[in-house]
Amino acid sequence: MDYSALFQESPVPILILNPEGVIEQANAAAQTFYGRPEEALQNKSIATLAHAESQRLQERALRYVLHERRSWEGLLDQQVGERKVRTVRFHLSPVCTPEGQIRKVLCFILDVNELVDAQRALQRECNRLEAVMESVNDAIFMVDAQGTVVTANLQFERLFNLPRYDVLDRSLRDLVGQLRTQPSLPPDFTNVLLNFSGDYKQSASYEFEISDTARRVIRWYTEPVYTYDGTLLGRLFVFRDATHELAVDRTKTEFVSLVTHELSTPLSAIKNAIELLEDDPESRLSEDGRQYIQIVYQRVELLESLIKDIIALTRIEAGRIELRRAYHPLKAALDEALSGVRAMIEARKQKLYLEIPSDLPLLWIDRSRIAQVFTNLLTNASKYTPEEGVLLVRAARVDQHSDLPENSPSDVRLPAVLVMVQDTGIGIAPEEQPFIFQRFYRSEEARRRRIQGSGLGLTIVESFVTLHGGKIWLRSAPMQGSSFFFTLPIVESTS
Amino acid sequence: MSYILLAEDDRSLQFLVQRKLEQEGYTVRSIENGAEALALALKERPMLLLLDIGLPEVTGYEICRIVKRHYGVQAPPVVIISTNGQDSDVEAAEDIGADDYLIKPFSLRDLAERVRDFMNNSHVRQSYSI
Repeated sequence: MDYSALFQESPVPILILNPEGVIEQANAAAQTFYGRPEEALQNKSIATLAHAESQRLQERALRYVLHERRSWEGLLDQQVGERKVRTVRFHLSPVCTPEGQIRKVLCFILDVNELVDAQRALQRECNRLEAVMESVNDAIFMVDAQGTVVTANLQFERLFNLPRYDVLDRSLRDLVGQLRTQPSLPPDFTNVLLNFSGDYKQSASYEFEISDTARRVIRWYTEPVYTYDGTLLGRLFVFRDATHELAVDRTKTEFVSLVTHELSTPLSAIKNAIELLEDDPESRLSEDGRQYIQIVYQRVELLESLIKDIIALTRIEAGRIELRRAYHPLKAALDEALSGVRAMIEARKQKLYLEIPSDLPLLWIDRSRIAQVFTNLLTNASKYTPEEGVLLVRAARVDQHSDLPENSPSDVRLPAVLVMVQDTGIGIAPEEQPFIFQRFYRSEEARRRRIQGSGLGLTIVESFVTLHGGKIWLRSAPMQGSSFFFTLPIVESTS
Repeated sequence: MSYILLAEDDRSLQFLVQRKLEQEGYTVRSIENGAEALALALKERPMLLLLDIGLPEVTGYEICRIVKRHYGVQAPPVVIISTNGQDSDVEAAEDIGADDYLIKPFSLRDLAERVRDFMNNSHVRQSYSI
């Protein structure tokens, strides 16, 4: 067998060294790898092939092989061109005489540069992830698809006062067991946590209070985690200390409340002074003067409704809306709204048609909130409809989904009373429709036509309807009017 | 006593409300301070009390609560004047026995109407309670 051919044609770069570690032969692959002909490699110490930073290690490896007469293997950086360095798996193997004298040293070079690069990149990514996990303000832990705790960050330790190494590689059940020994954590919380053991479907968010030295409010959520290709990784739990943020919320609410409170009294005085002026038979107002006064009055009413909207919105955001429900006919809420908006509709010479069946069931509603729903929808309807246009309010009882109009959402609670507020106005472009319930959103057309509004009305409408268990949606096209639909579930009286 | 007690610490508003009620033919006594209003209400039993909530020294709530307890079934009607949309205020007003509430900014026409209703009703109530 011709071993030299095997040596020469081996795809693996191989060097043959003398017992001093000086290169005697380099095969073709080695010449290609180092980019030098054999002559340029011969009579050089193996150590000279190493990249400067690997040189000492390479020398030590060689000494080890020569002294100990044993193989050595390790990662080394090789200088393969003037500026090129590659990481290789370097294998040095002594070939000895029967007496144990070293005759040659074989040197195998496996180019693992890409592999090592990839590993390093992976390691960097892991380090980065870990650093992120450690530096976020949220306490995080994760269980894998078998329910074993696989990750817990520093904030987790702080929040639950539990070293993470006590919970890693344990089951969620074990973790809950440890949390239950802490008197500051409410049992409700640990019970809920345990419910997620083995559940990889639900997403949920909760809140609980810790009552140790200072009262803290913790908001948390949990979600199943999947890879891009849909493989289940486990379930993530994230906890945030919301104490401060709730305090800020409260301050904001108090501030808005204070401001609006302070505005209300002067506003009332302005309004009342105008009323007295208008009602005074002896005031000698010219026709112009009367109009000026009218303008002031209208603007005061605008301010008044804006303040009302801001208060409502602040409360909605703070989650502090409480419904004062009783059984009322829908008409009662509509009438309350009409007493305010009728003047506007009449001033704009619009026709308002009401189609409210007299046999509608009583509704379990907060009358003044539903009145505000009507007020806002009718104000919009009138505002965005040209003078002398037509407005329509229609209501009907709906028992089956098939009786709902075409584009209704699928999750409407039935039976319900369906209300439609329709106008013949400028309409809303399809691409804007998804946004119109967002606060402060104003349509392009409304802005262009300089129609006044705060962009709060529909936000309030939506949240009041939702609070009643209803749904709201619309059908509209530019210049063809808008129809807003909302439902109010029929709740049978138990008494 | 046959007058309406108006307790409101905003002078402009006080002036306007008083003027409107006088135009309607009522006698009005206006007071800015809660403690003074309470003292007067306990001494003289006005026909009706119009109380702003945020009065100096003694709040409108307190006045209402004490007056209602003091006079029992003979207590005069009380209308609480609150600021815009404070539901908790409205509930509290109901809890302490206020007969009605107005939310600022209110309409004087609306106020006059409600006062008229109370004055007509209070005759009925008085004749029963005697």
